[in-house]
Amino acid sequence: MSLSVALNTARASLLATARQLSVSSRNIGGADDPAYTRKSADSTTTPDGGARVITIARSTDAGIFARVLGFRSTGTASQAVLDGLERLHDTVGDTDSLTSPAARIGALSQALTAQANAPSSRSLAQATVTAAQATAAALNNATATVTTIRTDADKAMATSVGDINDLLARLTEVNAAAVKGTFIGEDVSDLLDQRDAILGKLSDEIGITTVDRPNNEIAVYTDSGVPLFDKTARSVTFASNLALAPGVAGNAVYVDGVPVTGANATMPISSGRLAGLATLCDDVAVTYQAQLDEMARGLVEAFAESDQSGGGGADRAGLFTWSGGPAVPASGTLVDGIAGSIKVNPSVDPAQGGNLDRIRDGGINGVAYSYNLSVAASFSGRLEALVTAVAAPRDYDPAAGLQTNTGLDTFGTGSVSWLEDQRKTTSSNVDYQGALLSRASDALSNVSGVNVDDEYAKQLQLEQSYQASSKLINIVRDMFDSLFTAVS
Amino acid sequence: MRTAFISTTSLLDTSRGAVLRKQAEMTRLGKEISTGRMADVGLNLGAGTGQAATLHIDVGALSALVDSNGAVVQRLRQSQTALTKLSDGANRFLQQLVMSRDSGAALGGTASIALSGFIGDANASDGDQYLFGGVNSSIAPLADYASGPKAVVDAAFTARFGFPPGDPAASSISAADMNDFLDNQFAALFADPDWGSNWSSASDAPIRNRISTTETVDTSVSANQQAIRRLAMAYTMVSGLGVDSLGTDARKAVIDKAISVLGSAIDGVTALGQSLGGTEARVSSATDSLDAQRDILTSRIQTLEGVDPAEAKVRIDTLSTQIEMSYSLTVKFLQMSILNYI
Repeated sequence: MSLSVALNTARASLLATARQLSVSSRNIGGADDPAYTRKSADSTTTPDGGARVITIARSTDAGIFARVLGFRSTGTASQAVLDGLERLHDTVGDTDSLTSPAARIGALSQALTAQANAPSSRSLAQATVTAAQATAAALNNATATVTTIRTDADKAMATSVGDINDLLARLTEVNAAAVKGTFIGEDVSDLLDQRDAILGKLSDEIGITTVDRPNNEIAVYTDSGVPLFDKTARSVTFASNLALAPGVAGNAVYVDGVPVTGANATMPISSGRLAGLATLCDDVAVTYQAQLDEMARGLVEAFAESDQSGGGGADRAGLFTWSGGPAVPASGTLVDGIAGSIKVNPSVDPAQGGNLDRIRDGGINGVAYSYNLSVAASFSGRLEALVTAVAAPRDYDPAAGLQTNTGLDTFGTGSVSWLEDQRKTTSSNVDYQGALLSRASDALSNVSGVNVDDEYAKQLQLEQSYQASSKLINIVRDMFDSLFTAVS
Repeated sequence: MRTAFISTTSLLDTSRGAVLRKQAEMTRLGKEISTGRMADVGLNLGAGTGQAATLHIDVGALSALVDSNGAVVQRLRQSQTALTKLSDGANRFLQQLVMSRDSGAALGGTASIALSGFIGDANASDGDQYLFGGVNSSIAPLADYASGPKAVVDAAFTARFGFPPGDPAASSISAADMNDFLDNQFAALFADPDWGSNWSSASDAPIRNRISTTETVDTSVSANQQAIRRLAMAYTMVSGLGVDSLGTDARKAVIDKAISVLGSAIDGVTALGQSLGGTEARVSSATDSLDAQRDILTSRIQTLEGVDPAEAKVRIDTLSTQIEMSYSLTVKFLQMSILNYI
């Protein structure tokens, strides 16, 4: 081996060490970035004995990464549903409060019982009207809340779809750059990090699976198998519907022309914020609205007046009426949005020119519907019948998803149970998926993350190797110097 | 090569995440200690929340019944007092009749005072509603004598004897005629339908109250009760037929009749009082059992929603220890850098 070869080796070693040092400092710079993967400069020895850096490798684990993406998707889906449920819970409140429609119906029953025991009392009749107004208001407000939640979910879906399209556009660029870089042998590791970060954000919005292709190319599909990105980004479309009145179904999200949310989805997505919002908008909130509507319809039905004259007139709305009043809606059949329009009949409310006695006597719909023609002040028969009617079993539409053939009070508390059950289940799902995500992220971080202490120790090693190489160059120079001195 | 690699982020994040979770738990426990109830009942009970809500509603319903039972008892006692007044008045009148029967002292004036006293007592109210009106409690049950029934009494008398009560010719009426009149035409005035059209605005339907979730009782006495009609009959007999203008025999016949009617009326009023007393006892025992049910429901609510404050306190102590350890660990991890040792 000649001296010049030794010099070349030392020079190559200096370059390699410098390159490794720069990679290590990149690692330290990326230590606090969760999307950053640890890079290692793998050096190989050249045939002439000199060291030469060939590749920069990323430390990552495709399996753990895919799991992290999966947990992110299911987590955001549950979280979106839970956020909606928490807002629905506001319409129910605590069990000891008078917030829920069920508690309001209970309070109305109590007011009626009290009035039935002193039918002549104006103040108790006024208390009944107040309790009835509070019940109607609770149903109206709950309907408004459900409509707001659905509209907000619809807006959030539009935002989510916009984000997905943006992310897919960026993914197209980054993926193309990574493929091109791989072809010409550049270091594409930072591009791959960027691409993984985009996939992570994408998986927050919609459940995805990725397929690896040669030359660092990837294809992305939804968790239901519709292509989102394969060579080119596919379009995700959603027409926002700003007037989601009760009974109006939300619009579907289309990926590449295939409906993936809503009742008519051929390939429904099951995770990601988009799936959670769609569940909230088209399923949970719709069922809860159906329960509210059935409660309101039940109230109109329970308080309806029947013809007492023997004239055979149809039943007419009594204390509670609605936008379709004075007709009474058909029994056991959902009437969309009735919970939003239910109100206390103005003809019993003195503040609206009504007469309080009509609660006791009936006759809201004319003399034929009067239960107390002699206007006896202590007549309690009608009031007693109303108390019984509230608790009497009646039929409800199966769309409400609750036990049918129960009293209104039981139906109301059944709705509370249903909502809290959903909330409890979803909340524990969120906790569980959060724990899984946290464990998988830790595992991924431990595979691909940076330990600054380790990097620093590595830099010390590199420093020594740099010193040794420099020393070698010095020695070779000294040897050349002695040689030249001897020659001259 | 590396057996246990750990990244710096996951090393520092682990204890940080634990602190956040435990702080949230601390807030929850703090609320539970201060209220003695679960911080979020719905989240804890899930599908069982409806049961808790039902219990709260039921407790409310029982409380409403207990309150209204209080009012019912109040009205029962007022009715009882009014009945006592009726029977006291009747007893006093009975004594006057017995004395006057033999002494022949004039009765007309006393009797008409007694009659208006009776009508006043029968129209007793609780300040808002008339006690003896049945369900028709907003209208005075008995009409004022002079402006109401007097006309028909006079008409019946005139139809029978050919002259109005108090006419000098009345002294010629025989005891047998008078007795016949009293038993037939006069008695008919106090039977249906004349009673309802001339005397009474009360309803036969009694006020019915719900005193427990399953029990309803009638809690009023109607002025249409036989005992009250008989009282009215006795008072009218003496005050409205011009008793002082009758012959001795006829006068005696009227007074005897009045005494016997009064006697049976007083018995009737006493029986009404007893039945009200029985109702009051039922209401009281219903209230007692409502109270007992309410206690049971309240304790079931406590079982469902309550938390043991002692346990919560112990858990808060444990948590605060853990949080402090997490803090000191975070500090330790931050100090643990290779830079500090080279």
